[in-house]
Amino acid sequence: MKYVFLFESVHRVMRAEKILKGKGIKIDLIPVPREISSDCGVAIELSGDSESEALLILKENRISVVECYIRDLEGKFEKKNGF
Amino acid sequence: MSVVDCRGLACPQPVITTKQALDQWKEGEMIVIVDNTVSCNNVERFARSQGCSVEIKEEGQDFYLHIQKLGEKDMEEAIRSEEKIRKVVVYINSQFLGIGDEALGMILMRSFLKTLLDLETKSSRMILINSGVRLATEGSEVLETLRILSEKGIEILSCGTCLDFYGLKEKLKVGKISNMYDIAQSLLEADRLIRP
Repeated sequence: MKYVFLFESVHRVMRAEKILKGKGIKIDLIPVPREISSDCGVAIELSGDSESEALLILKENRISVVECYIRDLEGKFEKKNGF
Repeated sequence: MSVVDCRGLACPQPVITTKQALDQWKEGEMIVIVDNTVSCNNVERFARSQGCSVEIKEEGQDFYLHIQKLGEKDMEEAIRSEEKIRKVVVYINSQFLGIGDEALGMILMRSFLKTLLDLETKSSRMILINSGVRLATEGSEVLETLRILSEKGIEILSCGTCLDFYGLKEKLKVGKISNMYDIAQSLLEADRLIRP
């Protein structure tokens, strides 16, 4: 299971990547999946076990995650609310 | 045998007339006559797109297009040979995608390569030139992506001179070191060249 974070802008994505990597969290930059949005954008993908820690770090650094999705093993996306 | 005379007709009328004739036509050979090269090319392309074979004979100023419908077996054969000749080469001459901000260019390159994984790619070779070779060396963010592409059968070639220049020869992690002969040949022989 993977988590996909969407941000307001590509600048935020770049800052978020830098900070999360600095804290040793393994993440990946991916093009925003077509199932989620038709816009051309980049998102951050990370594994399920580091999701809450990543959200906490981003909050501390005042980078807001706009949307969060859970990608199940079959590749289906489910929107997560209240993160 | 049906003959469709399209002489004196302006584009795109010959194609339209051919289409109407094709729709009604069951089997055998059909001849379309046109009086200029543009119409000849257009009708030929249209007929081929409809799965027909086309043979062109010039007579004076006119072109006689002998059109034959292919049977199902021939169609499959044609599609197969079409697939066979597809040599798609992705030519990456920088570690950045597009011209502009480099950090953005890096992100776009990562996105591009990742997207290649998801698409039904028929690409057979990827050539990395100049700073493009950084993508296949230690510390690159796309190593995993390139590894998967390579496992899918895409041959990844890095320019040896470039690796040498950047001092990365020992740090190549995916694909092979190549030379300008192979690279130039791949570019010349490619059926389709993609330069992102």
